[in-house]
Amino acid sequence: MTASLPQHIHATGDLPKVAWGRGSYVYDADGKQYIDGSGGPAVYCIGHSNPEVNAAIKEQLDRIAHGYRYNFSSDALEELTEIVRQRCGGTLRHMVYVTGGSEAVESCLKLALQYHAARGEMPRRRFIARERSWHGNTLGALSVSGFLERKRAFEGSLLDVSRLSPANAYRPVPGANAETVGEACARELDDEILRMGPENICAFIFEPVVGAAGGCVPAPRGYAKRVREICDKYDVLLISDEVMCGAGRTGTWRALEQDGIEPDIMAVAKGLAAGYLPLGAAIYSAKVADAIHGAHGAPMTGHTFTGHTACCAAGAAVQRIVTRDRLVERVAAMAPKLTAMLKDALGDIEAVGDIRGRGFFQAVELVKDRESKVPFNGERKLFMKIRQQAFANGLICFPVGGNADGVNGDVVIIAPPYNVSDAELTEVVDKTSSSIRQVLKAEGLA
Amino acid sequence: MTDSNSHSTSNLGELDRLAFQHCIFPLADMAQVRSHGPNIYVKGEGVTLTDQHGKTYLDMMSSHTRANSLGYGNAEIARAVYDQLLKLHYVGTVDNFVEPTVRLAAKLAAMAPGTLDHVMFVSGGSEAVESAIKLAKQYHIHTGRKPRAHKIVSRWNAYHGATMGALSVTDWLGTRHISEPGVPGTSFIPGPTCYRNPLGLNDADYGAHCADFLEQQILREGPEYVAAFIAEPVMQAHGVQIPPPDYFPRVRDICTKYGVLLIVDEVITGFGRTGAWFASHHFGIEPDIMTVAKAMTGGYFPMGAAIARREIVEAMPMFRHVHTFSGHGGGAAAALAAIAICERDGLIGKARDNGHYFLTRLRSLLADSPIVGDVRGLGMWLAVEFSADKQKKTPFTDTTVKDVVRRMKDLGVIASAIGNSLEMAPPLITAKADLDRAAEVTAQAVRDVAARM
Repeated sequence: MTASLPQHIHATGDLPKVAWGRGSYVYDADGKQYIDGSGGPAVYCIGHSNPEVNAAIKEQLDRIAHGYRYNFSSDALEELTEIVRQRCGGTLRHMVYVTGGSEAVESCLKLALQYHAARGEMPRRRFIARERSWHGNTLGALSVSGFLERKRAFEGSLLDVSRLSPANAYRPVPGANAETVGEACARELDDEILRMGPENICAFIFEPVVGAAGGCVPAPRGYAKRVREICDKYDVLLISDEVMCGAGRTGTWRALEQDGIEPDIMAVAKGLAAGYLPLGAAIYSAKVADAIHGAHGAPMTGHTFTGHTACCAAGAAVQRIVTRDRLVERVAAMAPKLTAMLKDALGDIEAVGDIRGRGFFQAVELVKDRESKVPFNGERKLFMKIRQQAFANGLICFPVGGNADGVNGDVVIIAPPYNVSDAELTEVVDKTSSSIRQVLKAEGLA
Repeated sequence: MTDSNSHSTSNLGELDRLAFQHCIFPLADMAQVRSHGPNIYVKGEGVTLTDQHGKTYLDMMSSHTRANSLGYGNAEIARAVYDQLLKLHYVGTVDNFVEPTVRLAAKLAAMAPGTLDHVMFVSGGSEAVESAIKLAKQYHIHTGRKPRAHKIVSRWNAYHGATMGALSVTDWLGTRHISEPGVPGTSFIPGPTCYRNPLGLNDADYGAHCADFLEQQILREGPEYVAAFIAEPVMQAHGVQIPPPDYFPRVRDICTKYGVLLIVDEVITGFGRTGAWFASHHFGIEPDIMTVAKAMTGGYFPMGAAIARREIVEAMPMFRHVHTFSGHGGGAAAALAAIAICERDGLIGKARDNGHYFLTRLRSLLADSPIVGDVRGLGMWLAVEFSADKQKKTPFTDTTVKDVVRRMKDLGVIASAIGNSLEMAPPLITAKADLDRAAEVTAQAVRDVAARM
């Protein structure tokens, strides 16, 4: 059958049934093969059906599925915690485990609030976030997100949040260029903190490399460092949302390693257990831990499945492989090659405005006009059509829309498994190129 | 008051002492008030004020808030108020009106831009803004087109008042963040500033960016949730921010496109301040709701109003809002008298011409100053903006602007420090000779302060 994806990204209407997967490939019930060029939504970072991970999960299930976190610790949890500490480095040694990215962000927000409460600074309740950002689907995470389409139905019940301009070197704020946009956007943060009163500001949250809302937009040069300085100046906490870009996706385990800074609180999920079981974490620094633990003993946030034992076993198994096989280093080494391949394959398409990203988190942005960077009309839903065409061609990629201004814009995200082979990478790039070309032609745009 | 404070004020005169002991000084820097004393005046005549020590000042701020547009000691307005208070001062609110209030409503409808013709009377600017916001929200509920529209877009550095609703759309003078969290659903976008902007663009390009930003913000917030955009036609922050001519026409179009009501806050600018009855006239736009106060009565009676288009008011079976002193007879009499004086004496045209004269004088006297970056004005509202480095347009972070204002006061002219600028808003009746003196004193004070650097 021909897959016909529904028009809304969250819809689950008439879809093919998944049957099985192996490595970089997925097969549906009709036997059709798909190459997983984006690890779903940047999740399946070591490929599908890894026998080592499956064995580790089974072994844990055979012992016990879940020892309730607030009764027990576990080997799996302690092993994973130690690995994550090693990977994070610095003072990011404390974590609250959850079952996914939204819960991780929600926990980050609550940790930040609790930090200020612990210090007696109760008025620090306001979050500052950015436009064209995505932090998750729970109410707090949704509130800080700059993604109208996904918020519409919930308006009126969201937190009042300040949102700044997106920091985007390809689409810099007026008056800035690719070089100066980092400083200009950082200054916006400073201004907003002063405008709202530093004594009211809890935290600034941002994705070091913007995912679904922007299409792999890396923090412009110098931006993250300046943001860190500004947060420190006003005792505002810095939350790094690394749900999509973290856990090695960008070629360092922490995305912000490349920017040379440590956040106060960080969300990871997706790649942490690589989709084998639901797992995420809110990781926090010694500074935050000292305040919270000192005043309240422990974080006042947690869920039934916090530190679920089998999930931790999956995470530990995945991270053992990532470490042993030096997969993060591999991503860093191969990233320039992926960029070059995308540029070779797509560079001649007039509608390709930008190819960007970090590590195995790269994106192709389509524009109506290269010179002016004017996007195609959002009503065309070009990105959905590319998603559909790619799927028909046997490629799973992750096209997103509205990146240019919240309504218009089309980006195709490529996020292959860290252990993808050269041949598989070529197939991903070729199918991405042919799918985009087919859609542009069918739309009369090429 | 603590003992040490009592001690430090023990050498003051009786009025000063009573003021310190019993008055709250709203929005005053108390350290500064303690070092310079409160300003206690005992007499005013025309544009001249006399303080308790007998020193006289040329008041180029129209009583600090810019409300006193017709000068001190106006017997006509005072008599009109007196007569009305004796005849019938007040009959309540809801559907009860004294005669002059109805006549004033009709008069304002005739004067207001475009089709604005329904008036909600209140006691001042904050209440006027509060009323405008509630009109906008309720309008969307009743028309059914955007029943969930509750968001208001405002601008960086906006000042719209001190009550919670008005305060929530305010971003100036440090009044907002002290009472955070505010009313939910407010967002702030850049507004066109003169001379200096965070992007380093020229004024026209920055104005275009700010208009684009409004459209982006409405789209980001979701047009169906955005009830209104509120803006001062000429912003007060950092001194008389005159937008480029294209800005408000574009803002008007964007608001219309998305069914967002445009609230133009003319509390400062209304009734002649900028050389037009209302500043909207300069930009050729018609707001959906306009707020006025201050100079409406020449400052002789606390009064304000939200003036809306008929369609907005007729959409609602009942406007769910009330203030005890809506349409007080004394205020209506004062407003009718003040408007009549402006019309009879041609004060709006005079404000335009004399304002231009004053601006030209200031520009020529300050042209060579090493610390003056910009001199601008619209009608009788003018600002001198300072820069520590004129090349880089670096604002002063020290007390320079306040020092200039203080020096001017020593020399007998009252002006205001507003952010990076010195501001003057002379009464509309000010004679050219007084403007000459004010310009000369300004230049001398600027010279004196610059010389000390």
